[in-house]
Amino acid sequence: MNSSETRLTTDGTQKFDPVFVKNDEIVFSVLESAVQTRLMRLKLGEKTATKLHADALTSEFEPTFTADASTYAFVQSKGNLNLKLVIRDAASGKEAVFDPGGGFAGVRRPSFHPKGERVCFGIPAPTGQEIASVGRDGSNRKTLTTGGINNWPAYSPDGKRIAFCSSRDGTLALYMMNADGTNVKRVGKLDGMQLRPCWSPDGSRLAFTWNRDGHYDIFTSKLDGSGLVRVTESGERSDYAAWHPDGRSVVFVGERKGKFDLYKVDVK
Amino acid sequence: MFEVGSFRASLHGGISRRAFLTGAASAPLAFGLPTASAKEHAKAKSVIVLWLWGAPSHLDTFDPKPNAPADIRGPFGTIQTKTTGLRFTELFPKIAARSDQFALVRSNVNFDGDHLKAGSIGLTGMLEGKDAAAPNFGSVLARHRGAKELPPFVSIGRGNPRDVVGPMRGYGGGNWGRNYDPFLVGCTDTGETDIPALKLLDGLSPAAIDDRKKLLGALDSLNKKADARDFEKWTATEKRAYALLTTPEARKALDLTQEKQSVREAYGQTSFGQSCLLARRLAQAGVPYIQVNWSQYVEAMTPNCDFGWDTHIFNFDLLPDRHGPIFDRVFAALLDDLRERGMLENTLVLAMGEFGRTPRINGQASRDHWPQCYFSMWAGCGIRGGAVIGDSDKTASAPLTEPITPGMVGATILELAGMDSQARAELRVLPETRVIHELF
Repeated sequence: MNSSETRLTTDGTQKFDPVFVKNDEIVFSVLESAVQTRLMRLKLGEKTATKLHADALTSEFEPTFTADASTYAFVQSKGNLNLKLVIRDAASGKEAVFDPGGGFAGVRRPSFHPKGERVCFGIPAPTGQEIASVGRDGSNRKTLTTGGINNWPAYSPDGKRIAFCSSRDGTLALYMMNADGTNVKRVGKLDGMQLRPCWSPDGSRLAFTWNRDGHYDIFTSKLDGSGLVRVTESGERSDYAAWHPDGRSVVFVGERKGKFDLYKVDVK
Repeated sequence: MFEVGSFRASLHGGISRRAFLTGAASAPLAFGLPTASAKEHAKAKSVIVLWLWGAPSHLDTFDPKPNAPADIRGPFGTIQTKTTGLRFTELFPKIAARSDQFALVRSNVNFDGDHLKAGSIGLTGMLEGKDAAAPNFGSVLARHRGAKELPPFVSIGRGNPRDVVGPMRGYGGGNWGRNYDPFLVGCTDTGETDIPALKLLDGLSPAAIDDRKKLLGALDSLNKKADARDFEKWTATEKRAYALLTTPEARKALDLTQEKQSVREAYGQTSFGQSCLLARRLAQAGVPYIQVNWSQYVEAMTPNCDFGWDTHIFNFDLLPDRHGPIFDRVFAALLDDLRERGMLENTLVLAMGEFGRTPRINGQASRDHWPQCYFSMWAGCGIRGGAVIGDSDKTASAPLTEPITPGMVGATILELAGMDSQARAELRVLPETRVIHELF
């Protein structure tokens, strides 16, 4: 275990998708019951998380916020294998929805443009699973990739690029593209599945999950894949990295002794 | 090769002989094979079935095809297992490291692509009749072994398996009646057990009862409040539940707080993990047949459903996110735990779903139902660790070797649990279906 790991929660319940809202606040999802995932809010330094939407009756997960936290988006389970993207104004609660259609349909892993211009996400298509984006009102859908399984898109802090993972060259690996889908480049060439990239606040590095040797661990690298640094090394799963706005630490979900909690770890 | 219609069970007044054959008649090796090898290993005091409800993709788990085209092989890499030449997807490193402890069947087939029907076939070995349901393998063994202090057939889960449409008929006693239904026990991610049949008892639960005296007091109090006629209406299941909490062995088995913390941690804080630990404790206490349901519902992401393996959409997100890591940890922990206690000698462990998933990735970047080919994993009772039974074609679309039918699965379970073909014939269950002798 990295000696700088600090445990932020202690209940051990399955957790996913932490994101920083402000310097001292995290929103994440938790498996509240066997059938419902709920969005939770945790202030750093406090022991107890509170419900973001206390009245939610169905699973909500994968939150993403604009840089000023004025608007956020999340995935909501609405029907049988049917997942909608909800875009909500934080102050008024006014919602826009991107509904990918009836039947088995949905979006996963949304990422809000830092200035709130668009939300990108993974969405199934006949060509594979693609990265697409919609405006903050849920309209004007644009598909940004073609072919393979593409997932876990993440807008850069300046909104000009998107990091994501794709199987276009074989197995799931890190890639980068312009926000309009052009100029796709692979980030490094690592063996083993890579998942869930997230950006350092200055846009110079990525943190991501790498299934390197049988464990999911958090690593960071420069945007060309060089400067690889291992962040976690517990022998159990470390996943869902979120970079602290101060750039000096990463929060992640650590499975430690079979329990799932949020941890904070220093990064260089 | 398999004329499904010819095996349709007619269960009026019993189960037809043809239904017993369940695929065996079309298999060239069906008859005349020595069963001594299986009989030699017929020492399963307990059977633990891990029911992977919703149907895991065989290609994305234990029968990967890394050389197939991208629209078949999927996006996961493969890893070497402890068995030379055997590869799993990269989602299962712990199980790969223990491949020498179990046998893998890669040529299972089912006869229906519908969850509820395939589930019934998978757990009974027989097709459903129009107005009849065959008994679950656990119900058969329960009837053979007879009721003792502990329930002979326990099902661990939130409820009996179903989907959003309705229940699966093969969950229990079928036409034999509710006396042969499983005794249902729920288990949360923190290991709190719950017995639905005790709901009548004003919230009584194993955790709330710390000694026999207190329990009996609570039951006496309930007795005074309840109308005697209500008790008469209780089913055998409810009466057994009532009696169960007066049995110290059973209450001890149901109380996971008595387990070492390190063991609880090894299984992990998930419902499936703690359920499998509970299964081991029940086996240790002498329960003959325990079925652990991965989920109550098949549906993977549906309101009020509990994350089954039915991944028609987002298969390649759900598996690395949730299903793969949980199953990898829990199956490995169960094998380790049983082995360290010397229980693998007399405990049969079987993990399987009701079918596989489509080799070709569908229009939703995922996989649909595929009963033509899937996997099962077998451990304990002398089963050859590291053995790979059967083979699938280059796209995992069909077995290249003799298909392993649900009837053969059931016959093997029952044979290992001490029900030879004669005993099965007496109950008119799978008497002529062959045992999977390749496992030994």
